[in-house]
Amino acid sequence: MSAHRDGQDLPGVDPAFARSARRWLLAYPPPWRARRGDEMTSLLADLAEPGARRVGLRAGLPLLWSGLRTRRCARPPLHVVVGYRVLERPVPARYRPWVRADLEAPWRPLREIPWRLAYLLPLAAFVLAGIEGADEAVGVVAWALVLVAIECGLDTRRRQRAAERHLLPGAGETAADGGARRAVVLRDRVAARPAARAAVRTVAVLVAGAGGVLAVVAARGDAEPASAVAPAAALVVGGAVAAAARRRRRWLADPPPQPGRRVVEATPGLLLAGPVAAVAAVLGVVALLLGGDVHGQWGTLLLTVALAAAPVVVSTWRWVAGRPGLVAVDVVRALADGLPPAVDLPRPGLVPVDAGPAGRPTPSP
Amino acid sequence: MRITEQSYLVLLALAEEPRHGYGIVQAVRDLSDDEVRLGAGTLYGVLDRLVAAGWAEASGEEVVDGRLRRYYRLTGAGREALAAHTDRLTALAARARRLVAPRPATGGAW
Repeated sequence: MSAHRDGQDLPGVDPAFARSARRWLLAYPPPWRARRGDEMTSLLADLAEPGARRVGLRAGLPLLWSGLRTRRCARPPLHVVVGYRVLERPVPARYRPWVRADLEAPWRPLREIPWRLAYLLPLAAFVLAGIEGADEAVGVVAWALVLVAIECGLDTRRRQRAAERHLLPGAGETAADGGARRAVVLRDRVAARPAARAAVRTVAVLVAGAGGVLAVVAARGDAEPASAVAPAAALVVGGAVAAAARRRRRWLADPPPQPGRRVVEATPGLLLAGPVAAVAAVLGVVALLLGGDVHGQWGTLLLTVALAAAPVVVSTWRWVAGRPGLVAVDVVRALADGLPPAVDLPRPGLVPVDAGPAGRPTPSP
Repeated sequence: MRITEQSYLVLLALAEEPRHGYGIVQAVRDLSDDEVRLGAGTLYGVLDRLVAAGWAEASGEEVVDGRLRRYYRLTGAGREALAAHTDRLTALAARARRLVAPRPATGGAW
């Protein structure tokens, strides 16, 4: 994105006025704001009465209208959107800024998921028409959540693929026409802290959900001894695994320098994938319970798996919390494989291109 | 691209010299004899369309008194379009003058 940040580095504009202008300019699409936000704020300040501390309705409402019209013009027509979301067809070059804004949106999976599910609409309609009983309804919801979790988990990969497909300049175009160009880039690695937090949430959902299912079974008087024995045994095994993992933390004590690496925050979608999958698993167990698994065997299995993983996940999470520099892949490699961190090398990738004032591409920071 | 009165005035303002947003607003006010006062949204709507049509382009920026001024200038295609539209308007004005000129009375009986 542009170096300008919507009127935050304009000493000649009253900060309160700049804030007010920024709020009105929200009507414009984000790429437009990044490109023109500062000069627009300056112009609004020039046009306003001297000493004005906010953009009034008289100046603001036309801005709102113009912004929405700009949004409508920047947004491709429906058939292009369908081609982009569902059929993975190339998007015409003039809509590249729209594609780029989409690829940079933190919550992109939320936009993708309805389209992906729409793809399955005929099948879904067929399934929904045949639903008999609460167990099947819960089962369908569980399957839908599995799809959502997969979509969230593939977030990073989907963004990369879409960038390859839609942002590179085509034949006969110059680099400035593209939203991105090929370059050797640092290897992106996801920070360990948020990832560990997501893992803890996943385990918490599994334990609470499966535990709840077993509590219902026990309240009905259908519980079997295995429902208590297996989870308890899993907890013991999990504790032993956690102790072994704790010893393997020494591999992370003296990490090598990583000049070829960039530590990034995981996208919200990536962090949601685990917990959503856990909810899907719990709903699946609920569906089986409603469908005749009276003794809660599937609930026992789920609780056993969750409790076996819980000690190592929780202790790793608490340990990682005090070490902000760690990346997830190093932690997994050390704890699971007993190997020191691998040195990452720069690799071929894409960097965004901003068309500068003279139309010359300038690499983004 | 269709040339509206506003975009014609902006083209005229840019024909003289490269100008920044506030400069265009002032020039348009002078050109239109204080009749057309462009708002910020309208101006950038017009500029977006001119840039998209390849008739105008950004030509550098500077910070004056802590405010960002980005300059815009006409491209060759913009100048041609402006000249062509001015010819059309001139021809239209000539026809209009013939139509609204005072005519000698015809066929009076008294």
